[in-house]
Amino acid sequence: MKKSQLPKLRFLIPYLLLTPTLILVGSFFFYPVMQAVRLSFTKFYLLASRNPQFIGLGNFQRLLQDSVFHKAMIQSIYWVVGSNIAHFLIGLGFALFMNQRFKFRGLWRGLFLVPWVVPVAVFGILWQWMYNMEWGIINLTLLDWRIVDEPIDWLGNKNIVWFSVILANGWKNFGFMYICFLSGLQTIPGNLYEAAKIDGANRWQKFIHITISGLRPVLTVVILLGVVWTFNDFNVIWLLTKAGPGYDTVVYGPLLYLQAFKFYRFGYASAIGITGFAGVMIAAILYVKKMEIK
Amino acid sequence: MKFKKNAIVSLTYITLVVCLLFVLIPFAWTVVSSLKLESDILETEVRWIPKTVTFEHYKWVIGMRTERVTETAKTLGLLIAYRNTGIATVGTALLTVISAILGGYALSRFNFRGRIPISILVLSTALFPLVLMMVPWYLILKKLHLIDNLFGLVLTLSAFVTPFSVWMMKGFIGTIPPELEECAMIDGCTKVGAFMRVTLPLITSGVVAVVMYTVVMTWNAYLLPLIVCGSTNTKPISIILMELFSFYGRTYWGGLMAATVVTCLPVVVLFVFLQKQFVSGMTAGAVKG
Repeated sequence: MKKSQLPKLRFLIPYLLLTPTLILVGSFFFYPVMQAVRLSFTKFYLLASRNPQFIGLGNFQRLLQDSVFHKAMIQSIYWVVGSNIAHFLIGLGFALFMNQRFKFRGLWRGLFLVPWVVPVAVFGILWQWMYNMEWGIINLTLLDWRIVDEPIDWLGNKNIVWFSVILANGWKNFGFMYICFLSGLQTIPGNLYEAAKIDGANRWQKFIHITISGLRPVLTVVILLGVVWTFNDFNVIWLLTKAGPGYDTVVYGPLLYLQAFKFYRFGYASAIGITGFAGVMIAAILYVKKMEIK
Repeated sequence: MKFKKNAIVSLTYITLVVCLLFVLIPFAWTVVSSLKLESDILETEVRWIPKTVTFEHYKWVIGMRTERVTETAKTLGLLIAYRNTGIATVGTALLTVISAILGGYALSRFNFRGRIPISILVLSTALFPLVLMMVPWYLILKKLHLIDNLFGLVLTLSAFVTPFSVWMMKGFIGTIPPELEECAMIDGCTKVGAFMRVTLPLITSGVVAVVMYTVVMTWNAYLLPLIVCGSTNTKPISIILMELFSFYGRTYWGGLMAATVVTCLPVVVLFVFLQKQFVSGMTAGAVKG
């Protein structure tokens, strides 16, 4: 039997099975991060076809003085908080609503996920067309109903643009919170509500003490992922505004992209990337410790 | 009492309609626009029902109508872009399913040294910013001469979707009792044979979930091809759509709308049929993790 011939090599099997995964993850996640750390201490222009030049903490000193970087970090906070409030409210609202009984529930449930699975480029076109100044349905409807007299420049006016991008992002990405809440709601036993009713709890008390506290385990994970993913996201802002008007919607992802692939400053871009990444990771670890996620 | 019940029921349905409108209006407006004449698209009046229904934009998308904006169509090569996305999807799905089954099996069935650290390493990649990875990924692919190459795209996309797929697969394989395979081995199957004949058929829904996740992520990919695909021969549809949007400043809206509808169709259709597996895979990964 093969088994008895090679008893000593049996322990290798799981490692062998994991080889493709480990190669992919190692060469496309962990090696790149180390390389980015290394590049962040260098001056390296892609087009100059010169090797990276070690400049110590030069890039990080420059970060401290870069007003666009400061702006991006502050705006990233608005972006992350705003988007996650939107995702939370829409996701929880839809999940609570869909947890009721009515006709064709499965169909409606799935329809709400369509924005989330649709390609992000399609999302970009859909909302560029919705927000279009002259022919977009939002402006046309508002004008038609005499709510406004002049078309609104949804993506070009710096007082409105944050509202527009957060609303659009709310539409695109609420789906993740929605399905997690929906499956979380199904783990709450129905007899808890009956017991609360006997004890004379009102609707609001039932909502806080049973629904929300029942969702707590899901909530802690979902908020962590939501915050990290929104912070790391590049597509939504880029497809809607290209970080504009000016730099008014620049956040972490687009700033890094601009520095790396528009100005070809690979060293400086890596420094921005590593700083943001380290910040998010530290915040995530502190959060996990505090919430005691196991 | 009955009145109150009716009121609640109708209130429920009104809320449902409002929610559906929120979700569906962007799609509906795009579909309606794609069926209008170009001159009707650019009219400043709300019109949800097109004056004249036309399929000329769809004909343009599939290359049957070349008299209009010929140059645009030629340079952008919509059909090639759909082909590229198709190849990237199939390649990524194959590579990912194989590595996910192998990796998931190892993580759920074997107790080996380093199992927990490896799981944590694999899972932690979900928190890595893709945009930071782009600089090193670009340099790696350049070194391997895989820039502007569909295989390079497949490789990076697989790297991107594999971690979560392994995690999903681990969950699915964990629900199958190992005793089933042991029984098959007593009946004379080899270890591999037992896996192929007993476990694999039982985790079909897991494979479907992984494939669905891969398809969604591949069609979704925008940043990655923006950086690694330089020419029409490799650019996927997501890039071409955005180029169509900003082509020489003047947008051919009808064609863009039709191309958008065609682009989301495969994902939406697949999703409608495979919704259940997809959702159970996603939530199993996220909630239990």
